[in-house]
Amino acid sequence: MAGKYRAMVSTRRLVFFTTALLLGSVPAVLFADFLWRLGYSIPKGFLLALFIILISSVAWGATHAIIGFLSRRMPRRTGRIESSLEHDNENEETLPAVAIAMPVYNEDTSRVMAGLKAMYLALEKTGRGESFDFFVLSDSTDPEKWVREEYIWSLLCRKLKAFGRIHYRRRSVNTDKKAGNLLEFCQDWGRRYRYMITLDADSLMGGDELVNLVGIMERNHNVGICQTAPRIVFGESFWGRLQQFSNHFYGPVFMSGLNSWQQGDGNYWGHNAIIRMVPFMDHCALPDLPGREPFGGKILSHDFVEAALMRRAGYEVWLAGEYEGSYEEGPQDIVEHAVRDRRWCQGNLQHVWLLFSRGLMPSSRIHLANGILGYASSLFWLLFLILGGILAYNRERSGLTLLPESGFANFWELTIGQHAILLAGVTFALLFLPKVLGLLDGWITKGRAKGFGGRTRILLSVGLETIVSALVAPIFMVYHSGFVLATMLGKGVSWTTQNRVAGKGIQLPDAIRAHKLHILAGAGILCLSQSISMSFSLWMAPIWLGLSLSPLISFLLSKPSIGSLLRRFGILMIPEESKEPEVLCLARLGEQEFSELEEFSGAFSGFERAAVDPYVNAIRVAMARKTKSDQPVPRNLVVQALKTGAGSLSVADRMKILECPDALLDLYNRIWLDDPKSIHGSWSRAIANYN
Amino acid sequence: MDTLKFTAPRAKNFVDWTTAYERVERYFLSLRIENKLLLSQLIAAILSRAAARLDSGSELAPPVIAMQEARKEVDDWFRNVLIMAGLFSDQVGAHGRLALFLSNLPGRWQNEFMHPGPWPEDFLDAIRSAYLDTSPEFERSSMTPRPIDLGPVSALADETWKVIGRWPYLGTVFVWGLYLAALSFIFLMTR
Repeated sequence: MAGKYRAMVSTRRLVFFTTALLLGSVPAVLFADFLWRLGYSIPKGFLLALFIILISSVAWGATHAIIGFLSRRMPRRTGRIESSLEHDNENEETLPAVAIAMPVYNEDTSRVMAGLKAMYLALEKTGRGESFDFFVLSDSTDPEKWVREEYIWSLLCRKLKAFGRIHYRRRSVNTDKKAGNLLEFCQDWGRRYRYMITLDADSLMGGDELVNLVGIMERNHNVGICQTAPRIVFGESFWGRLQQFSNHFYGPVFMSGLNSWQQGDGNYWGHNAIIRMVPFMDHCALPDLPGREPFGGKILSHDFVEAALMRRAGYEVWLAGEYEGSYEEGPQDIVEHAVRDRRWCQGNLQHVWLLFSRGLMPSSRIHLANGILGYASSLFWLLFLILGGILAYNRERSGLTLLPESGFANFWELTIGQHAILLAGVTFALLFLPKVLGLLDGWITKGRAKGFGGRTRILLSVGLETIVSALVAPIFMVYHSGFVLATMLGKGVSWTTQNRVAGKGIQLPDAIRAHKLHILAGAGILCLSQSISMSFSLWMAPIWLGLSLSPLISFLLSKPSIGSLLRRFGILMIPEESKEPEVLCLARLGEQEFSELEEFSGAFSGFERAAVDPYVNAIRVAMARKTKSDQPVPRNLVVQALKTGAGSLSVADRMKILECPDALLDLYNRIWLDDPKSIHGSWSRAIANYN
Repeated sequence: MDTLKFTAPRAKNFVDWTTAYERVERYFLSLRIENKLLLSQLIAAILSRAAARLDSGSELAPPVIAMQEARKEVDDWFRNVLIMAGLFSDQVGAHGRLALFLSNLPGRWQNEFMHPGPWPEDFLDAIRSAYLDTSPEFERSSMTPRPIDLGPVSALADETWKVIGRWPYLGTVFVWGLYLAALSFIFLMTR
């Protein structure tokens, strides 16, 4: 059986990598011949090397699309971890203990708790909920968020009678950020559970899907991690809707291609995945990297490394790529997207250290290299453009007539101009092949088009998505190149919270400020290309146009009004919008419910609520008593808060009071019992909120 | 609950009694007591006691006395409920408030609030089971990283990093070198 599996995997990989090689080699050879015909020189050798790196990456993506498209056409689809659920009914009755761990860091509490509530209710509906324990693992440092988290968690548990099922733990010291948060969870409670399902703060998974994930692990004892492919939902802005459309529409084809070659050598993306606890705890603790942050030190993008370590320990890592019912949210504008990418870029670049480590599986190295190239290729593209521009400028300035040398394109009797057009055609064909195959898949897969608004709307959506992608590609090229350079020069990034709410979108002056570097780059490329020739300038138009117009593009893409207009016309639709799954509906309603809580209405801070509200205060006092602390009671801060109001306290001082039950109780008692004339007016105003 | 025998108390400043009234009312509203009849009875009774204390010579301001009375009444009631539920706490105020929240007194048991016992068994059960269970018992274990041999390339990079770490200026010189190399490269390319 194992031999048969290995043979199957080898065949798949042979087909996949041969296809990738074939696809990449055609434009690479055409380009090499093109440069040869122009007259070979060392700078052109550099240019060719850059082109080979870039075109390999394009061919890699195109191969995923081709193989994925073909796999989805196979009458009997093998090599999918999900299919193990169809074979037998093993362990149907009892499920082992499973922890659902959700690390949060200053997130939108209403959204986090609404997601938990939705998943809890969805699980209860399956009748198998009792096997699952939820853990909110808070690393929140903002007192506002933290007080709110505790209150809404208590409220949620009370409503669902879920004390003992939905747990809340907050760390006051955020050692090693998210990876450290999960590590502490494993060390404290990991042995209680056979599996851990990891979620992000914006993750959502349906009840049946959670149960089935456990079923997959129970049927495949050598699987250490099973990663689902979360679909992006709740896109409001133009950009948000574009992202969720691409993810839903092209995702299945790409995931099918990815799964086709990686099989049990998959990767872990940090959330919406199930992990076998024992091997994870035994083998996946993260080592520190040599050197200092940002390039060394603590590993930021822990997921890739954990997957590599799991593979090193002999356990399989699978992608359940076409598994429905796994969701996440995405950024709603380009700037927020770039902020997220900045973090991911630094994390992925750290993996350079591990690329040549002994003992890792070759597939793990491919995943690490892919992650690095995901950002580094932008820098290579920029270098390619600069070098190509310089060479074209030199040729133009020399005033010499072009006398092409002979190359193999001469056999086809191609002029140098025709050669250039052929090269561009092949390159663009490879670039757009995934979109074309995605479109074809949407059209011919039974029932798929309907979910996206029908075939005509699919065509319009893909067309719109392609135009916007082309316009934003150079913007992200500049962003990512900057991130790579900044990381290489030792400029680290702080731990931030991702904003997933569109609001009113970015204002134009803010967009101009955010994209000033892009405008400059666009103007520079336009001037340079104009100085070479008009035709060269036209060739470069997609680059300088996208960059020069970046503030306007960013402004328009951030608008929820445009997003809702597109939705009204059925453009960029996703199946979940025409038939909303229950878990999404519950999450949406829950978010509305929690965001309208009267306890947190009005202009009062979370700290003031904890000081004034009898229930918020009682919960915080009870939580603080559970954490043993030898810190002295900050009586002076209590007096300061009473006399000069909460606004006079620093965040650190507020934290000191909130973390000390006696201080918080004292503050509560004195606010209510002292003569109103003797304390700061803000407390009376806070009390007046109860009417 | 005392019978209503309240008359407007004598005070130097009637505004103090208005403030006292509002303070007590908001205190109960903060506990989410929204039953108007219960609320008005409670406020009247508490202000009546406050007025009596003022008459007997207290020099505190009416809002302070009124709030002290309100807190005393509520704490006494909490204590009795907790005792009847078989619980005891030295932090009766915080514990009581937490129990009221967790048992959902504002939503389910508002009519029991401040009523003398005996209380319905359901209510006492709700108070008994009102425990803020944040997390299960620890089952501690350790997760120790297994050594990773980073290989010769990373080892060389590590050594270089350490050297740069020892002589920070070397790093700066290296970056300058890269910058100058890039300039030279562009210079040569444009010849």
